Amino acid sequence: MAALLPSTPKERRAFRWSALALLAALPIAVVASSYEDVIEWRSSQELNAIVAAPSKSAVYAGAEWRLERVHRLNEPGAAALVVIVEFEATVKDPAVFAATCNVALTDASKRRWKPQFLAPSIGRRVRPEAVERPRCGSASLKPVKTGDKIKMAESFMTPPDIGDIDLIVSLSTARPAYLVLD
Amino acid sequence: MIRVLGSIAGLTAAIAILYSLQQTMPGYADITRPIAVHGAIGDRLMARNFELTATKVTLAQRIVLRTGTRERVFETTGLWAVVEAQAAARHESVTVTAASWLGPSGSRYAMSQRFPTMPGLLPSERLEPGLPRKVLMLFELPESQAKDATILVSRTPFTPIDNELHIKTNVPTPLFVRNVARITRGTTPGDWRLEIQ
Repeated sequence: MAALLPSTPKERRAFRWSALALLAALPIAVVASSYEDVIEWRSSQELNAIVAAPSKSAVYAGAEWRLERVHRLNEPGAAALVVIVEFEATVKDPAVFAATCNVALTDASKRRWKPQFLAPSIGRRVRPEAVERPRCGSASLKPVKTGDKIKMAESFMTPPDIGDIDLIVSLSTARPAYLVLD
Repeated sequence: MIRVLGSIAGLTAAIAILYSLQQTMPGYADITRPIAVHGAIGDRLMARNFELTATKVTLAQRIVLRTGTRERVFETTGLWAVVEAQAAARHESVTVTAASWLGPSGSRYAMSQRFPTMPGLLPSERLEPGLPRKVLMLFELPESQAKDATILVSRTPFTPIDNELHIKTNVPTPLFVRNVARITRGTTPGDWRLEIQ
């Protein structure tokens, strides 16, 4: 049993060096084994905001983006407000632009509304030209070339008392950076 | 001698600690099990990403789905449990896809799959923050499982380390089973009205 413990000065030195090496090896092992997962997690998150001020454009994910118009439509008797956002992107780098596009609407309280798959009926009646535009997901999947101006629209169902809203756009090629159109 | 005894004591302690760790180690299913939020009918319950208030449970022998002037009847050899609820997303738009009826014997009945076109069913309604909406959950179950049941609601059927609502039902004794629960489709998508006969 006593042989398990370092007894000579040489053994003690080796014991100390091994203990120090273990202290360094453990964090290195953790970083090495989780590095790829962390990078993958980062690329699915929206962490760094690129903000376009009202009526200004911003460069993001191989395109210059601009918010055009926001329509707030209230169906009489309906509890929800339909918000249709029209926006455009001028393509600068088609390879970066052609990616999965996520869009959401947020307000000051940081609640997020995802877009409606089908435009609500009031949108089709009152703003047909807006709801006929492609959605961001389908627009970024079509082949595009440098200089193309792509006009898009998304519709949302929100509470009627919603205040200031921002449109959030994030493309898989540019995450963790994301775009906020004020 | 003292050193040897110390080593033996250390080794014994290490074995004891490792053995107790091995014996008390939770399984993977325990580590990732849903986190229950308990409540009753009428309670506003908060899950991590949605809130739901089950407002009423009605037992019926058949469900009738009325669309315009057309009616479709759904019979059962057991009972229908029609659960009305009010639900909304909390921070982000969400679809809540899993609800089941946990009977007194521990049997679990998932929501009926017999209504592909029924309006207002919980899994087919996208919930939005700040916009509570009326939703329906329909279960088909044997009569013996109707009393002392719990309705379990979660965002997905497998919700590792996420909330699961446990809503205690208040079905009276003896069972009060209605003849027909008629669900009439409204004029706007997802809109419905329930009549009991």
